[in-house]
Amino acid sequence: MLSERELIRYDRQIMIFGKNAQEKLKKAKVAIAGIGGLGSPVSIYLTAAGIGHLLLIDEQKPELSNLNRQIVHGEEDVEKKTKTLSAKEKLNQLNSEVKIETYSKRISRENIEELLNGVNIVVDALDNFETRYLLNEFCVKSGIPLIHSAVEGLYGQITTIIPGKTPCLKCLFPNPPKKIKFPIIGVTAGFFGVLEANEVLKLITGYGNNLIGKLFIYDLSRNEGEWIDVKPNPSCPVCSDKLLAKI
Amino acid sequence: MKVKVKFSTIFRELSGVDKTEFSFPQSATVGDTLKKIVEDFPRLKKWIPQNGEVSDYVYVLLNGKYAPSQTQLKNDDEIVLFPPVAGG
Repeated sequence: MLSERELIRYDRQIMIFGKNAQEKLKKAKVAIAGIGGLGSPVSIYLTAAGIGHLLLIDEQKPELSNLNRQIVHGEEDVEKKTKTLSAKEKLNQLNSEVKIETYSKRISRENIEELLNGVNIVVDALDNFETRYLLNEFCVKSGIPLIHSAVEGLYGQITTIIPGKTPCLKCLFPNPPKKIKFPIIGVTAGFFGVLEANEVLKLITGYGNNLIGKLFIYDLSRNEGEWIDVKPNPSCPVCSDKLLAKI
Repeated sequence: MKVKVKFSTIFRELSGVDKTEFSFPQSATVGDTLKKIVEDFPRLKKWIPQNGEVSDYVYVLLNGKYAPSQTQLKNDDEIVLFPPVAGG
């Protein structure tokens, strides 16, 4: 049940998707893996929209060179706090009604089940494919939607993975990209982070269409993008069993 | 047979076109297409190895599915090339 204060606070978005949808947002628990360039806008917009429970996961502390894009952190946080604590402080200021849980260790095969227990949606805001593959395996096994995005320079990609329905991350990208120090500017991470938050809100409220079975690639330098209809890999080592079970 | 190729982001910038079409004999593969792309668009040489193997620098989707180099093509197949990205 929404309080009077919540009805006022979320009035403009309740005009879009209704009170029931707002209640669904309040009841939801969303994990954000990575509180960096993508995770900053994801966490800000999900907090502002009134997701009931956010789990912020990141083992690092903000560095000065992060601040061009990781907009939830500030100069006072650099090298002092974990990214999760730094973000929690800002997000609490933005919306004290959202429960913010933090986890400041790296996601591993050993801790992932306990860590993500009870989570409704996982947002991939990571910067490496090793941990992305772990998230993907867990989400496929548990039937939890995974919002994937990755960015570099002025372009990036995003898709919403629904286990048993869409290709998983391993179907689309069986080999991880090379690890490099990649160029990035805040607007690229901001653009794709907002799209990730939007995917979460639409999945929970049922409003609009998600990027289900669609990989969206966008180049901000040329304002050009495309939607690729993507299909599962029938021999995917992660999700092919899940797909077969559906047939 | 005809095969369509779409270029995305950096590949579009380097090739100067958003798509192209190739004619191949029936037994052509994804790798043959990559070789032909490098021949026609030499600025992509750095990204696409000339041996036609899928590299660390390019992702290839064939009709929306991951496709290794040896995958055989059919008439009207569509290939999309885009760069791997991992950042967050």
